[in-house]
Amino acid sequence: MRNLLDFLYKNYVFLVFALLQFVSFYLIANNTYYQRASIVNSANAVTGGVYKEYASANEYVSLRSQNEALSKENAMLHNMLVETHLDLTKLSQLRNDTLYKQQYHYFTAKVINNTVSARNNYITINKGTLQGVKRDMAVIGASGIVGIVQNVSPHYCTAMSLLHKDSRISARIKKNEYFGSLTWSGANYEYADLNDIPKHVKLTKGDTIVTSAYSSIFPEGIIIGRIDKFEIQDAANFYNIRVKLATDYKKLTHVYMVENLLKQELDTLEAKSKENGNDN
Amino acid sequence: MTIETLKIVLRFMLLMLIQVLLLNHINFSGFINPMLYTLALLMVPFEVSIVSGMIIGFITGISLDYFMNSAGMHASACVFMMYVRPRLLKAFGPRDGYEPEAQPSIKTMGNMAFLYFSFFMVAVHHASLFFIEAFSTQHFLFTIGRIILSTIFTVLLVNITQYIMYQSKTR
Repeated sequence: MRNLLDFLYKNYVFLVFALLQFVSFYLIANNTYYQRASIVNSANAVTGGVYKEYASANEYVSLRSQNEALSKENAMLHNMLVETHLDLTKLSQLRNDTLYKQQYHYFTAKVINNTVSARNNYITINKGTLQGVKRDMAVIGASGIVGIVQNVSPHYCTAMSLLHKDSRISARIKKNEYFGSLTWSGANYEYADLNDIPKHVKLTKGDTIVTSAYSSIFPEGIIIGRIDKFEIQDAANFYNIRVKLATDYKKLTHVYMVENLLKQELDTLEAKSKENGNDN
Repeated sequence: MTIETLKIVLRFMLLMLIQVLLLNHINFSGFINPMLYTLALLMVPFEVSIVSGMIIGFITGISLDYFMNSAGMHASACVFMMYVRPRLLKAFGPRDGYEPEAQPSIKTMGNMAFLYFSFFMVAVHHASLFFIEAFSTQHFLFTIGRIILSTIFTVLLVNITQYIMYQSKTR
């Protein structure tokens, strides 16, 4: 016992060091596995409040370009309205709730903090549980996908940006339906990598990459980007594809949160079939 | 004593706000992110012991982690930096002792000694931070490049800030 106390007294500096490092690494380990909520995040009252004040002061600087983008999008949406199309058939338009079930619910939100320079980037958004934000909701911008909601507090939420080590998004090539997974290597916020496209597929520079129907988070067909460069290494069976991202992560202000209203049904069904598969 | 402590606490808060609201949004060529807040830790008074230093480092780091969503990464890097601090102070600090409550700066240590001291401290901090952030040896050379470039920028910024601080005081 006395020896132990002596040992502790002699090495207490190193022990304090080891203890603090242990606490840090415990927090890091809890955070990097992204399915679990982390304790340390910017979706709390103090940090969220500071970022909100800063964002509201900063908003004026980008008003012009934001207005342009929003009015462009408005025009596009107007073009989609039934009222802007001539009715050539003279048949009545069906719009019955029992026939058309709404699957995705969109609402707008504002980005109050955002980084692109770290290896793992996060976005803080000014909507929380009180506005109906839930974990794993999709975040998309006017021009393409942005990220996935990770932590939610009453008034704020943080989303894992596409620019993250753990981000893996199911993507497909729009013209020929081949799908692969999209990852980010950490070098440049303008480009991501598309993997798992077999080498017999014909590609051209500029092909559009969109989200696939296999994701229970993102709606199908949301634009991700365009093929910028592709190559096959000698003995490989898959392409190395570099994708120029459609979203400019450097100027992210207004985003849409997307809730998949049928997600729970889908997840329980898939979990059930997995269980059944294990039994056999 | 109390006025001096208050000044140090205010300096910590000011540098952390500058870091979070200004510097985190400035990226030279995409991935160089200078960390000016290390200046607050560099200027912790000479007489502060290694254990108190590490606890101060941990609190500073974890506060920044709250802002940057980085869990304990900055906390770990700051604790590491404060752990090596006494050794570096012994190597570069003033030989013939210092006055009570004195802080490491270009005034108390001299330009060159503070440059070396800040370089090694920041290098330790950045090396541990960027390796924890990458958490793999996959993009090893990329991480090394990031460490070197970010260290240069941070050390430059820290020394320029020191120069400005003492320039305006002597005037």
